[in-house]
Amino acid sequence: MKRAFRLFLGAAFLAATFTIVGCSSGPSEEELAQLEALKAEVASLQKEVSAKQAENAGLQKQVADKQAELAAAMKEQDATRDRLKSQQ
Amino acid sequence: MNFRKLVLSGLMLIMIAAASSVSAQTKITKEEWQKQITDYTGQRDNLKRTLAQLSKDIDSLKALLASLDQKVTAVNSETKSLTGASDELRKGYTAQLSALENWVNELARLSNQDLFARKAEIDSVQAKLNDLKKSKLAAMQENHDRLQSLQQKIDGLRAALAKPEFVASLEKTYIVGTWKKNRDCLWNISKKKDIYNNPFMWPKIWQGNRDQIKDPDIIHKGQKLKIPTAGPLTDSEKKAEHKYWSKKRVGTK
Repeated sequence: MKRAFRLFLGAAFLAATFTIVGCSSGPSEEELAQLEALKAEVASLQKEVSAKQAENAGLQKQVADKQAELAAAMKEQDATRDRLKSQQ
Repeated sequence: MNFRKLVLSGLMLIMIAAASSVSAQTKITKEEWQKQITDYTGQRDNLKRTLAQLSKDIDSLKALLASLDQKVTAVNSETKSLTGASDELRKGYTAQLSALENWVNELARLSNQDLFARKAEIDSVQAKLNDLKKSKLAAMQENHDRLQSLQQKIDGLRAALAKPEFVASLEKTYIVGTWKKNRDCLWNISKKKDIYNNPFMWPKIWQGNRDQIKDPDIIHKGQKLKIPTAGPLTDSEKKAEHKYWSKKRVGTK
């Protein structure tokens, strides 16, 4: 009976040690929440960046198209001038 | 004995509790947390920088687009003003061009027979086109393209009329019947409404079929005669007719 009691005490000591050591090496609830919030912020920023990249690509295409339109308009103007000259 | 069991059960419970406590804490260590915080903070800062740069680029692109748009509008209006024509004149010119296009398209859709009958219209269309070409508005790109396309179509109509197969497709044929039943002779055939509606045109049929009609008074049942296009008798047809009547007169004397 005495032996069993000692065994019980030993186990209780061991368990308490594990618990204390385990608790002291991990982050607190607050810190874990801070990490989660940071992760969420990063995910939201990634979404925002993707949307902006798509908008940027769309605008680049529009600019290229407009530049081509301007070049065509200028070419058309030159051709019109030439034709008017040849009519005279 | 009971006490021993009680102690052992308590022991097991304590061990389970301690193990679960340790396992709960092994999910993430303080060092790992710190590392993740550092990583995510770095990522967040990079993303914020990227976002700021992208916003700047987008603003520049929007400004560039607006400026290009203005330039295009300016160049186009400058081009329009080169002809010195008012909007009303421009509209009128476009309407004339459209009407001419419709006319040419109508001619292009005609059957060979109908096109041949209306071939004089091709000259009228060409004259209208030449008038439109003289206008300053003809120098505008859009009008210039349309005028060129019209000229090509008119040239195409002329070329089609000149093709031998076109002329051949205009020729009708007539299968000779019997005298007894159909009263078919060149004179009567020529008189038919769907042939020439004029008996005096018979030399046309004769001359058009010299390969199979030696004597115009003799045609045979089943002969397939070519019916040349209607129109006044040609010099050679008149000559042949004159020769025929002369010969006939000599024969009767």
